[in-house]
Amino acid sequence: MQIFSIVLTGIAVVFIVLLFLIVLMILMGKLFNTNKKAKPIPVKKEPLKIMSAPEISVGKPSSANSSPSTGGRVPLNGTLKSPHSTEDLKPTAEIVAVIAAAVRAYSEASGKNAKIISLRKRETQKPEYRSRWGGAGVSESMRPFPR
Amino acid sequence: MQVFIDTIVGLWENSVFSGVEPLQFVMLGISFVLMYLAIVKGYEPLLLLPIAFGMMLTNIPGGGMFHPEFFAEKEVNFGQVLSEGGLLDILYLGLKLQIFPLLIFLGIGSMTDFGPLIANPFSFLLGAAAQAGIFITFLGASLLGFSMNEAASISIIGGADGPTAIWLTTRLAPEMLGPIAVAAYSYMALVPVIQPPVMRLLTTPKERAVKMRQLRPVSKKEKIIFPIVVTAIVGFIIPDALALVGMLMMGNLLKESGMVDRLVKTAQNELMNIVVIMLGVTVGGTATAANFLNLNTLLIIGLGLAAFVAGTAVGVLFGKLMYVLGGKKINPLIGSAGVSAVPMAARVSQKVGQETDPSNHLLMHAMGPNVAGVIGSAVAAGVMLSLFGN
Repeated sequence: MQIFSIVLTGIAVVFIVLLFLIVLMILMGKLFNTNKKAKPIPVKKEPLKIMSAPEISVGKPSSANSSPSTGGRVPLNGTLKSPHSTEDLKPTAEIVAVIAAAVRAYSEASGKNAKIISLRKRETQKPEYRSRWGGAGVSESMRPFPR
Repeated sequence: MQVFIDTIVGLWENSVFSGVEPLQFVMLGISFVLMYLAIVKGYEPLLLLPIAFGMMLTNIPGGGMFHPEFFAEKEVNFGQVLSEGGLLDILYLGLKLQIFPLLIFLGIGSMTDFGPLIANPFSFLLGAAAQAGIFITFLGASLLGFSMNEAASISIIGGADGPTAIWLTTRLAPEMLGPIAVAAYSYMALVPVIQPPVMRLLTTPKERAVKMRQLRPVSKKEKIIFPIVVTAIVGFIIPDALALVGMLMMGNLLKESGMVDRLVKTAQNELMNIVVIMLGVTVGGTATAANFLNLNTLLIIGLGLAAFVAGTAVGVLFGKLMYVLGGKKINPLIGSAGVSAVPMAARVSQKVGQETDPSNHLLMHAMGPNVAGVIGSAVAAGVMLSLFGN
């Protein structure tokens, strides 16, 4: 009988302590959770300009302005207009070089000829995407450690 | 010629071969098996390898590395240990004085993210439910004839927390430290084998396919206040658990404060590694033939398995209860992660969930009960200590 009472007491105490912690965590969440829903950023609706997608070929950059109709090379200091974005991107030479290098490395590794045909900026951050903090938490939690 | 023979006989009598017991050879064989499991099979090698080597060192007679008789009495004669003891005797003081397990908990806290738990505090309930396996095993061990102290030490294996098991066993039943530590770490490595059949048996495919809502983001303030609050609450309610929970939370606070990167790096790396080496070889050093090779060890191994199965089952069943009461929004599989083998048990929940629906990502949801189980097993150990420690 004593053994059963010890078992029930132990389980009850563990639950009571953790229930207490649950209440405190909920209160803490209400007090200190500063993450509020962001107001949606108003997007200016402009008629979409339908144009052929520019190409960034892996090779020498061209100093001349490119014409989308030729499907040729994009100048390093030029702008890229994507039919799907309302905002022009202005990549620097370094960014284009990094992207080109990555595409080239992929092409060589896979044996396939790859090209970047558009750069688009993500307009709004959807709430279900994990933040960097959350991503860091995932990697920390996944890290195995000795117990 | 007679002098030659007498010299050879004298050398033989002075060597260990004349005094070795057959059971010590058996222990050496067991240590080789554990080394094989650690090195070749990869079963918790960080601790199992030092444990296995410590077991080998202590069972080679004449080495004088460990003297169990120095620690047989409640009061340790420190002068005798320091003057006559071997290396493992001196390192054993780190266990006897509860230093090593607590420092390991400091390191664990510095590597743990309690964000998923803070985002969903009801994960604490799943962490608590899985600790019922500890008390069910305590019941079984008591009915099998173990004393209360021994039953409590055996049952804490179900907490799936090595430092907690070592900490409690050192206080309540130090003579059983070797088999309990070996059983605890072996079963923790076997979590991916032990848990899935229990999880599949107790859940339906429909329940396993439940997709849970994304967790809310947790602010830095919450993550800083959490360890302080938990330490205070647990310390006030169960003072015997303060050492374990306090060190765990201190490590976590060091990490979350973001102000003491050097200390965090030391806690996560150098401190953990040093203490793991010393703890492992010392625990192995206590596994002498007399302590290890008896019927109790077999019973401990069986009860340890029962503890894991019971903890998993109760956790999943509680998860099913929350599934029903929560409007079928909680996947019962995350209940098994309350068995605090972090992060293995959470990965198992993810894996079993993906067997039913590959697009179902339960890992972060399971991390909440997983880390809650660490706190829950420390609280359970504190309860055991307060009941039987005096």
